[in-house]
Amino acid sequence: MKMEKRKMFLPQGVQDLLIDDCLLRRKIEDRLMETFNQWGYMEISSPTLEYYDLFTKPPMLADGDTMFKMIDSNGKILVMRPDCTIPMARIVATKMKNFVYPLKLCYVENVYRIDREQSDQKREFRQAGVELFGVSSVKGDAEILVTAIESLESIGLENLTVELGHMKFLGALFQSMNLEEEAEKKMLHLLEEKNITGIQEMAILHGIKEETARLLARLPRLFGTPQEVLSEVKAYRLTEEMEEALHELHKTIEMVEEYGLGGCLGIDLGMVSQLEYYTGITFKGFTKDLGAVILSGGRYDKLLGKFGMDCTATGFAIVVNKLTKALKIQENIHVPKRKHILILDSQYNIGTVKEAVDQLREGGNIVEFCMLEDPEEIREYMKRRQVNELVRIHEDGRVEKVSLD
Amino acid sequence: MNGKTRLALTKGRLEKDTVNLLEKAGLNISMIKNPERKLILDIPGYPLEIILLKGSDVATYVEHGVADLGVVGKDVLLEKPKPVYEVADLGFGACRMAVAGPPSAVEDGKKLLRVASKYPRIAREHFEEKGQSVEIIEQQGSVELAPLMGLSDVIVDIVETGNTLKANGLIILEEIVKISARLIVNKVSYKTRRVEMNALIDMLEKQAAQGGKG
Repeated sequence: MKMEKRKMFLPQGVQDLLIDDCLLRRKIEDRLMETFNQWGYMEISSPTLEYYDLFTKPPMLADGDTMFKMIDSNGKILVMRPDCTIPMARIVATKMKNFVYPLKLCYVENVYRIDREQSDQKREFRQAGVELFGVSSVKGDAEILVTAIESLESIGLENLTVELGHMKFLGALFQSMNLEEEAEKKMLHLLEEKNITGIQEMAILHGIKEETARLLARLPRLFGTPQEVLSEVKAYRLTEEMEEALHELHKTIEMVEEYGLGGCLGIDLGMVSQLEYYTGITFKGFTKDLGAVILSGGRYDKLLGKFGMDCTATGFAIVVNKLTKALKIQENIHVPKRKHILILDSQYNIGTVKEAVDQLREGGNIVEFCMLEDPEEIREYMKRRQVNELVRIHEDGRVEKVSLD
Repeated sequence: MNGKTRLALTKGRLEKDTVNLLEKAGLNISMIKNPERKLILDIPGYPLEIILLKGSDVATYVEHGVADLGVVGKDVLLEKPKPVYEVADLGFGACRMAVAGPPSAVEDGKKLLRVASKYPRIAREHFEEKGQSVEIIEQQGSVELAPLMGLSDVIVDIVETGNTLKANGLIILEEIVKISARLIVNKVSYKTRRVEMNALIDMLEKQAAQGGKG
């Protein structure tokens, strides 16, 4: 009985896409890719299968439990790509070292993750993203942000907010606290939860200096417009590194503002990233119409070093499924309806018929030969497929509009 | 979603305690007192709507952003972690998650401990951390019965007064974690409705800090 059922149903977290959803996906991805291309990014593609070790050696994704694994015939462990940035870095360091830099690459790929909580999260989803290699200054961060915002807005996403954080700011703060690894992890987790009470309790427990603890407990609320956050944080005693991080945030935001896309930017100094390879500015994008993160990205200057190449990098990924959902909610996405023509009583006659059909297809019309005989069935087919026109092509190639009645 | 912020409450005691806080803060809670079969309850004069759900559903609604905020027990969040912000400990609904069993269970030092619990994840993680192998027997209710009937060696459950344990000859062997009501917030809502949300969080926190007074 169980086996019977498994024949019919899908595993958890994956889905079939039927006609309209496929059209929509293709339209969205084509549009994103077009924007990426126009900004000078070139598409590359990595395989679905990679070695497990690629993703688990620090400072990678670390958590091997969330990856789909397979055993290769020679005993090695393979995984289905849980992330796109790490394979991109691998490709650049191993195959594109001698390319001209800055190197701009982009992709649309499936990624696979096991959801530990077994909630209704997708286990297979699409990411469209770009990576910029070899620009160490904030120019690179601004470029990536502008590309991300433009990609989302040009497709029609409304009410976009992109929030920036900085790994160096958090890093400097945590360095000054000198916590043990376990405690640091726990504190980061509390910060991610914006659990102020928990942070305060833990700060006392670990004897963290009052001044540091005060900033730490305020971090969960240190988000909002750039002006608000940058002016509020000045009230705290900051280390040189923290000042530097704030300066970088300020400069980056200024550049995006100068380009005219700064309106959607915010800062969240308490932003914690799940990915461990980020080293600088990180960001997340969302819209008030959907309770989920649509865009995420950041700077990862140390990652290529793991593959023996000294190269700075920054990039972003858009979760296509979430973007689609948001666009649907906002009713901002439509697949243009094409004219649909059905050819009745088709007779193939060398040359003339093909010529007529080619002509009918001009301008992107859907033109198909009718495979049905019974007028009732034809009528039903036309209704369900929303056929606009019924025609007959004569032997001399003349096209005549006909009706079933 | 309309302009109102939506708060999901855990039906039962946590609901009453939260509604008390709202009332003390001066909100008009007449709709909650007389729901008349309505499922979405309006707070007249304040941009807030209340929905009532079971504990784990509160977390799910907030995770998906269908509700912006929620009040839920820490036990629910520990048993089924969700990617939400946990912005405040409201203090009420205080109790403990504990290991309990007959006094003889203390000295047993079993290789494989049988544990009955409504909280299989919390139980497993607790014993894993201690390096104790366990067999978890999931229960839906009356967990105290399991050791009495020989189904398990110990239980992991919420203890408020300890009276049920005492009446059945069980004692607390170990406290795992303190539990209380938490205010959780959807990650995106918090960013896109910061001012309203902070006002509401501060209000609830302030009332909660004042405890039963008011």
